[in-house]
Amino acid sequence: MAKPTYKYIRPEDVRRLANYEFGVKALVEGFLSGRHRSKERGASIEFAEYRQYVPGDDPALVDWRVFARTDKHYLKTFEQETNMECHIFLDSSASMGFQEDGPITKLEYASFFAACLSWLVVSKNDRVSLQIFDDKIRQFFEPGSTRRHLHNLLTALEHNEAGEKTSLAEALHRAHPLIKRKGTLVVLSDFFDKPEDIFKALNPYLHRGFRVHLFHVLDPAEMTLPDRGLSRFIDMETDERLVVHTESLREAWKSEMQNHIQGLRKLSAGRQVDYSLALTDQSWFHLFDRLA
Amino acid sequence: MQFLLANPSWLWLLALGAVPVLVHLFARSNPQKYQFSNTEFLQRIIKKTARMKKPQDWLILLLRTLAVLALLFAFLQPLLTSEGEIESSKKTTIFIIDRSASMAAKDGNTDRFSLACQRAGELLKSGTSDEANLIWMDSLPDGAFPQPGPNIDYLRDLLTRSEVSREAGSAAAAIQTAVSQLDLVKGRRELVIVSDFQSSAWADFKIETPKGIDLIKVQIGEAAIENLALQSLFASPAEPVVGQDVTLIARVKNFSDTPRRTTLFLESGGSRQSKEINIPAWGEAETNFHTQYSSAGLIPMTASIAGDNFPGDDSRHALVQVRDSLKFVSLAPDDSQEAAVFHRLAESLDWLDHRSSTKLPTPGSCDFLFIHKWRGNDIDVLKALAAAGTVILTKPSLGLTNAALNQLFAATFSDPASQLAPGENKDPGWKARISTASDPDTPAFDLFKSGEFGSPAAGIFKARFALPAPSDLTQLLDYHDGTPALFSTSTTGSAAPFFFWNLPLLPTETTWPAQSSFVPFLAELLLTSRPNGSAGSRELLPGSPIAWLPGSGISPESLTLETSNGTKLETEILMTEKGPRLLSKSPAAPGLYHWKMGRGIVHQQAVNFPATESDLRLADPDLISGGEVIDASRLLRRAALGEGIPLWHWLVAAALAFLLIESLVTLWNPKPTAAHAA
Repeated sequence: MAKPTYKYIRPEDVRRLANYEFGVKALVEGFLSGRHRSKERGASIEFAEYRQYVPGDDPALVDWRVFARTDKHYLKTFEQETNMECHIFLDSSASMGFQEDGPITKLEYASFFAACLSWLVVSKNDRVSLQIFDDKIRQFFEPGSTRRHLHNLLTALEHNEAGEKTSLAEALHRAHPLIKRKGTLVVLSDFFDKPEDIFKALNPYLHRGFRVHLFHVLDPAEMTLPDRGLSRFIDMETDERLVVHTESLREAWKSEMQNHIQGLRKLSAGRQVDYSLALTDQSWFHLFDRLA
Repeated sequence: MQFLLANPSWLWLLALGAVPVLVHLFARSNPQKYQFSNTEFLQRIIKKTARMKKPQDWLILLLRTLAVLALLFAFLQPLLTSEGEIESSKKTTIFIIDRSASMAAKDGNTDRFSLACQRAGELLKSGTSDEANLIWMDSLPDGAFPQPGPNIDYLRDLLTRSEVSREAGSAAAAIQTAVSQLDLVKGRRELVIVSDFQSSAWADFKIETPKGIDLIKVQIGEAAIENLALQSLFASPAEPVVGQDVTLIARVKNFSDTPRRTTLFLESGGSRQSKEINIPAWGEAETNFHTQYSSAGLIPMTASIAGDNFPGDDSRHALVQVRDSLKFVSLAPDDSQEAAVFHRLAESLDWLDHRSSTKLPTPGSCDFLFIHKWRGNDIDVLKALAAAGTVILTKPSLGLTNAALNQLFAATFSDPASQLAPGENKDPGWKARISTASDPDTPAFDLFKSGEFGSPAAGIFKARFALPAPSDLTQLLDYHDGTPALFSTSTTGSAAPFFFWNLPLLPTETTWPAQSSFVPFLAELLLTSRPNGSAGSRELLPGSPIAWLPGSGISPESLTLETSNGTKLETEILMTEKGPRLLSKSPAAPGLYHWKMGRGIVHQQAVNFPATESDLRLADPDLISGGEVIDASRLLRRAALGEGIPLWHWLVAAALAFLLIESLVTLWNPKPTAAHAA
């Protein structure tokens, strides 16, 4: 049987990804012994510390040798090595379908990155989940680490198209009860929302100890406003129409966009959230550096 | 103060001032659509900058509209003038439009005359004249109105309907007509001559107009146009007799810098001949065709060359009056023995008709007049006869003074006051010969060059007058001792020569009439002595009506006038002292015209292109004294300028200023206010 080919995973990407590690510095919770250390105490060979017995503890964990020497009940704890969970939030709103100066649309760019990340996570036997959302969650894939799961994710990405109006805050809010274990939260969006609303929605995740990466996907033209002269701009999400002369607004646009990015950076820095600007004319592989 | 527009007909241009507004509105109403990721930011930006941008946009639109309007207004050539000035002076303009034949020449696709009418029409349309008139400059200049009138529209309409004539133009007559009309007019007077100022007509012309008339020369045509023209066509002799060798001569002139080669066709008496001719640059070529006519009558001939840019002068017509006999009158009594000699001569020659008369004939009534005993009287009458083409042969009588000889022959004989030397008689007499002083190519002796016919003055001469040899006359025969026997004046144009006959004719005095060479010599002498003349009387100038006096015996009502292609022309009959005179109602154009009675042609007339009109070189109107040279467009402008202060350059400056401010406003990029940015 022929090996299936995927739009967003190319053979050259696979070869290149072999050199990448995902979350090597991260401490995450997991239930399989593995490469990642967990702050949860559990069974393993790596000694962590002694602590006094409290009712409810497993009596099997009592170190009887210490009891014999000190006549007190201490438990010998070990650091638990688990697998990691990565939760990918992919913005598939209509604005992600924009393409001007970049070689591909923003959605395609984000899909390439999401596919590669999923492959990388699964290849290390970690678990990955995927939420495809616009103003609601359109598709949700439970965390998984099997090839079958990866196939499902990649197939979903291939069939995914830019949809309706975006609301990242709403999507994050709705996805919160669906994600049972903390892990790494990777958000791929153009963030045409108010930064305050986005971070308000991220707060529950941050409180649970999620490591959050925001990848701000933009077409290069969106940084400078394309030179279209007098044009009727039609909003891809709301279908609102606006007649403007780009020449007269370009400087103001650049300034507004910089302010928006700075706002996101500032809020990210304050909450220990990783923020990266990803332009569609640049390779997505440099984004993995942020995840190492 | 008020505004005037030099180009009010372009007022519609101002409607174009709405173009920037329309562009603004339409461009905004249907701009190019562009699907963009998010317009929320844009809306936010617009809100921030709207307070500055909207007024800026409106200001730019206003400045652009003003710039366009200023430019459009400049095209209308507005003038600032005071109301009083215009009302106070009435302006009368007379346009002399040259419609002579040369105005048919084409500079490109349009002929000069159309261009002249167009320019005059524009000047009339400019409305600077209160009253105007047109005077057509052709051979007989006439005006559209008897006096300048206010009906400018009629004049403009007339200009569109007029055609160029094929006549020579009379500039002097046209100017005189115009000046006489302007003399009766008060207020500002202007005379505008619109012409090509053809070099041949204007080079030495001096325009003189009374003081107070503004003379303006508007030249039409830019450069000389190359032209090949048939300049003349005639027969030599002009009135040959039946069977006589006739030379048909055509002259072609090349009015160009390059030598030309063309084929000349000649049709006459039912035959058609052609010859290739080379004409040097700015030169003339003459070619001869030889023919004989077998019947008497008025024979038309037409010469033509290949057509060129100026076809009017590429053909030419002439009429040859072929005579059945020539009239010889002996001024002597009927019983004169000398006259009898010529009577016998006429009997030997079919084409000679001899009669004796004791009275001098009227001019044009005979071809030869022999005065047997001339005593020096009636010199003026004889000159008139010679001028009319009658060859005068004078045999002197005793008592003839040298003064009379001097007067008739315009030569100097010795001692003008004294009488002619008495006659000499000698037995056995003298012999005569072709004068040693004569030109060997004298046509009268052509027949005797071979010697077949012997000596033209064979025989013995026993009586003569002793004369010194005249130095400035043509000697034909003389006696062996050098005494002149026959000499003549030269033939000049249509004037016939005078012969001095110092040869006896009586049988008792000479054996010459009995000699075999007598008849051929006299026949040759008579035929070759006739002036070439011209068919002038049968050729009319173009532009004049075709006129003919049919004479008695022909009822004028029964005559019709037709062109050579059968088009009938209207005629009228004028009663004159000499009888009814038929006149065509329309002026003659070049061509052949037939007067017909029924189907038969009773008379023919030819009208030819005026030769002076073929030279299409232009004179520099600046060098023609009088007046000022202005091209039509400048005249239009000046017509407007004369009424007020021109504002167009201020408007152009204003337009440029508006555009400059617009550029500055466009470059200015308002920053969002601090309050909005926050």
